[in-house]
Formats: sequence, C-alpha cells, structure tokens
Amino acid sequence: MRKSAIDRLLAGTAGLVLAVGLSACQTTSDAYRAPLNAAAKPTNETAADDAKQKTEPAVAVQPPVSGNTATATATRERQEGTYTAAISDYRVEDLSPGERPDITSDEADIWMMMDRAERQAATSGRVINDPALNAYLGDMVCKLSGDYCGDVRVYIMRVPEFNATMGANGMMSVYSGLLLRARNEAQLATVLGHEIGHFLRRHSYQRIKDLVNKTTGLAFFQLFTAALGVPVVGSVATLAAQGSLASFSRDNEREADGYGLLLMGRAGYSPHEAAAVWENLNAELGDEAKARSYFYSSHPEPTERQEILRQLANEVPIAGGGSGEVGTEAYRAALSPHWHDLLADEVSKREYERTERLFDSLIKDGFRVGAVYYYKGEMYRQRGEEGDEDLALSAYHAATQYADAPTEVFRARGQIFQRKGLKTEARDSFAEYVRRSPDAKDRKMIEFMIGGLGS
Amino acid sequence: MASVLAVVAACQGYTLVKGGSPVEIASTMKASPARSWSKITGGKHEIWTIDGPVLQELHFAAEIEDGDELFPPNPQRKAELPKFLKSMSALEVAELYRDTVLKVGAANFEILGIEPKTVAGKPGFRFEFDFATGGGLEKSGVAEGVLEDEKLYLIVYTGAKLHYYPKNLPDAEQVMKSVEIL
Repeated sequence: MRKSAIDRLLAGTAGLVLAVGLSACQTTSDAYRAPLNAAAKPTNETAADDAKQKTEPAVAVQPPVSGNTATATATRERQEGTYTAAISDYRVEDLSPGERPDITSDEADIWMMMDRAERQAATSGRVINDPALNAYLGDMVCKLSGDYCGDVRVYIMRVPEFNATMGANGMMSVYSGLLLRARNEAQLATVLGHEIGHFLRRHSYQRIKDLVNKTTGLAFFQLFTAALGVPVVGSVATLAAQGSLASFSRDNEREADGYGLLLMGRAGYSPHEAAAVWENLNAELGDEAKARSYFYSSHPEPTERQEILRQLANEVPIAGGGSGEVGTEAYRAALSPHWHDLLADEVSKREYERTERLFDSLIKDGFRVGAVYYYKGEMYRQRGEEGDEDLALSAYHAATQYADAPTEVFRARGQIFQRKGLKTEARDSFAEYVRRSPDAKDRKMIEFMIGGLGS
Repeated sequence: MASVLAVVAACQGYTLVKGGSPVEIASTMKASPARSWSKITGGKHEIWTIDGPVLQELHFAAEIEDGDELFPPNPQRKAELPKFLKSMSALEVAELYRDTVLKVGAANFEILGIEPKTVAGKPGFRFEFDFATGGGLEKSGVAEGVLEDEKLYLIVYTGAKLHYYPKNLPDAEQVMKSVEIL
C-alpha cells in the first residue's frame, strides 16, 4: 500500500526525533506491574490465566522474546483505569536474532535514522573509549541478551546522570552517572536488562508509531523542529527536556522491567538487587520537587515499582539455582580506574543537595571512601555558603584518613584555610600539596599563592 | 559553545574590528589588535573570530560580577549555568569556566596548567585547557583573567585543535597582551 506523503514525512521525522533526542528511555520513570512474559498480543485473559502463569514460571524463562500471553494483571490494571494505554495496543511481532526490518517497511526508516545517530554517537566527544570498561559492559550485555548478543551495541557516554537509552536498531547507551549509582553488577544488570527488554519488544518503533498516530502534523512538526538543534548527545538538560517527547510509555516501561528481571535470572544475576536500584535513586532525589519531576512526572512514585520488583524477583527462576550473583567485587574493580572521573563529573554539575545525598550513600557503601570524602569536600568548597567552609574541612580531614585520598586534598584544604584567613595553616597545606605532587599542573599558581601568604 | 554565539549574532551580526588601531570592548576594556577580526557583541560579552566561532574565537567577558554567568544569556539554553562568586580565587575561576563549558554540552575538559600572569598590567592568571564538543570536535583553549574590585575580566581563546587553534594563537596572544582595563 502506498504511503501518503505526510505519512512518509511523519514516519521519517519521528525517527529523527528519536535519533536526535536519543533519550528514548528514561529508565527511571514509571511504574508497572510487569508480567514476566508480557507481550504484544491483545488479550482478554481472566484471573485463571493469571493463576496459570504463576504456576508456570518455566514458561516465562523460555525464549524471553517470544512470550505471547499478556497477563491478567494487565487486564486488571486496565479495568481499574490506572493507566490509559493498553498492552493490546501493541501488535508488533517479535524480533529474531540478527533480524533487520524489511527494507520497504517504515520500521526500516527508523532503523536507518538510528544507524545514522549511532555513527554520530560513536564519534561523540562524550563517548568513553576505554577498552577495558567497554569490554566489561559489552560482556554483561552479551550475557544478558543471550542469542541477541550480536544485535545490541553498547556506548558508554560521559554524562553524570542516572540514565540509559535504547534505540530501535539495538544501539544502547549507558551514562556514566548510572555506573556511579549502581553498587554492583546485578544492579547494573537491572538497567541493562531493562534496556534490552525495550529492544526485544521493539518499543522504539511502537512509540514512534504511536506519536505519529496521535499527533497532528503541525504539532508534531513543532516538536520535531524543537528537537532539531540538539546534538545526538546534547546537554543533560536538553536531554531531560526531550525525555517527555521521546520517552517510552508506562506500559513499555513495565514490560521492559519484567523482561529485565527475566534476563537477569537467565544470566544468573540476583534479581533481588533490582528494587535497590530504585530505592537508591529515590533516596538520592529526596523531596526536591525539580529533581522528582524530572524522573517521575506523569508517573507514580517509585515505591510501587520497588514493591512489584521485589515480588517478581521471587518468581524469577535463576540460572544455576541459589539467589543469583550480586557481583560487587568485579563491579568495583571495573569502575576503579574511572572512580575519580565519575566523582569529579558529579561535582561539576553543581547540584549540591542531590550530590551530597549520593556521596553520603557511597560513603556508607564503603568503596574508595577517601576519594568520595575529598569530592564531597570539593562540593562544599564550590558551593561556598555559610557553614560550607567547615563542612569542607571536615570532609577533607575524613579523606586524609584513607589511603586513596588524592593529594589535591591538601591544595583544597589550603584554599579553605586561606579563605578563613588562617595563613600559616594555608601555607603548610599548600606546601604539603607541592611536596606530594611536585609535577602538579598548577604548581606555579600554588607557589605564587604560598608567596602571597608571607613567611 | 556555538549556541552561545548564535543568540548574540542573531541580534546584531558581525562587524569589523580593524587591525592596527585600538578598540573598546564592552565599554570596560580596550585592546589593540594587529590584524583585523570579525566581532559580535552582547552585553558584557564580545566574541571575535576570523574563520567562524566554531573554528576559533576570542571571547571577552568583561566586568563579570557576583552572581553573573560566564557566558552571555541565551533564552534557548535549558541548562542553568554556574555563577561567579566574588570570593572566588583564580583556581576557582578556572573550575567555574570548566563547569560552564561542561554544562553547555562539552566533555573531557582538562585543565593543562594554570599559572600567575600579569594581565592588563595587573596581577592575574592564565590557564590552558583541552575539551571536546558534544559532536566530538577536539578543541584547545587558553584563558587569561584578572580579579579586580570583586569583578572578573576574562579573555578566552578557543579553537579546533586541528589547524585553527594554532593558526591564530599568535594573533590571539597579541590581542591578550594589548588588553587594558578602563
């Protein structure tokens, strides 16, 4: 059937919007009662089907992408009117490993757009090229995606935010801020599995079709042009703004969560870590309205999500039996070479309250705490409000109790002493910094400052 | 970075800075360029370029006061930029510049060195840096600044690492050397 010109335009632009915004997935936003094998087929299952499914967990772990029984849970949800879009909206067939859409299909248009976006992402200034870290994440993605390993490519982007995205063509991006926030492999696998779920269920395509169907041409065109000026991976705030346009639906999210848990279990990761990801994020966001609306606008609070993930985790069969692998040590080893950059990037955002809560929880977690204390002090020093000088000094002091405190802690302490007019202490601290870092890039500046403090 | 300029340019367009004669900058500074540049202006900011601001630019931020941002206001910018505080030291100005550039979408910003330097006849500072744009263009930069009466005067030359930055670095250095604060 011949597509009309406007359809072509819209299909094409829809692809671009996704490509440009790239925030295809706010993994953080949504609630769901993801059935373990939720799928595309419209259904009118009964509670009996629901019960049947619960007694057949083995069915759920079979090919994760070919589940064709939407559950009674979904039906019940719909009846209660707690969400508007329905699982039965989705009539897209599953992907096979290595499959690409037929070249004449509108889905192929979207893949082509995403392929172009992927080429741009690959050369983005934000992409982290470290082979070891890429191999580590690539292996995890492979383990989680099983037969679809060859279909998903992961790009690690240096963006200090909790997020990951999934494109229709299998291009996944993982933000460095997510790496700082996951505490172990299983927690990272929660998000990676969720993203793979989006891919396997072809959520991008569904979302774009949905947008094109529901938006008038003009409004869509305006949304599109608003997004046009944005580079593939633009500023974080721009990405956030794009989120509302390009994010997946709630149903997509809950389905992806269900798939994520299944994939975790198949790969032998502990699904019991999944809820902790959202618990941690929730604690970090605190009650800041701005931060909360970024993540949860138009969606319920995440406590519901945690509860459901906890319930579902008990139902997921885990490869190798037992409670599954958590993978704390391996995760820390992989992150260790990047630890300072991750912390420094977080401080650079200058979003002090959130960062403070995050750092406190990292300190509690106990990994490379000297570095965390140092960057916590840096945060106070940069904020520079009343009382921050003392908070900074106390964080710097704590940092020096650990072997992994960077030598910059002495420079930082000197700066605070100088601000407080404590010349002798400032001079000693700067001198200690120069003694420990004779090749420091700012040595001349520090020596000049020492000179200005008298003798 | 380019988007910073777009708004400024949209208002007035480029005008010529004629080489060989002194020129006032944002009513608060003066420079004597040896060669001609094109410039766009907006409030406390002026941007000079030869081949286009993405390729190389000389950014003058004049009389930045407590609470000001380091880049000209841009209604299209979604990110909130960090603010200059009058209590800041030279080291902290360099950090502020880094965080500003990161906020508008750059990555991998690295300060390569910072040292004291006499700027506009006053005790100031100079720092050099590298970064990459969101699109992956590698850039280099050098900044010179003075903190005077709780205000910041900052002159920053940046450009594409390949060819354009080194090509006009001597011209930029010549302008920086000629700067006076009025």
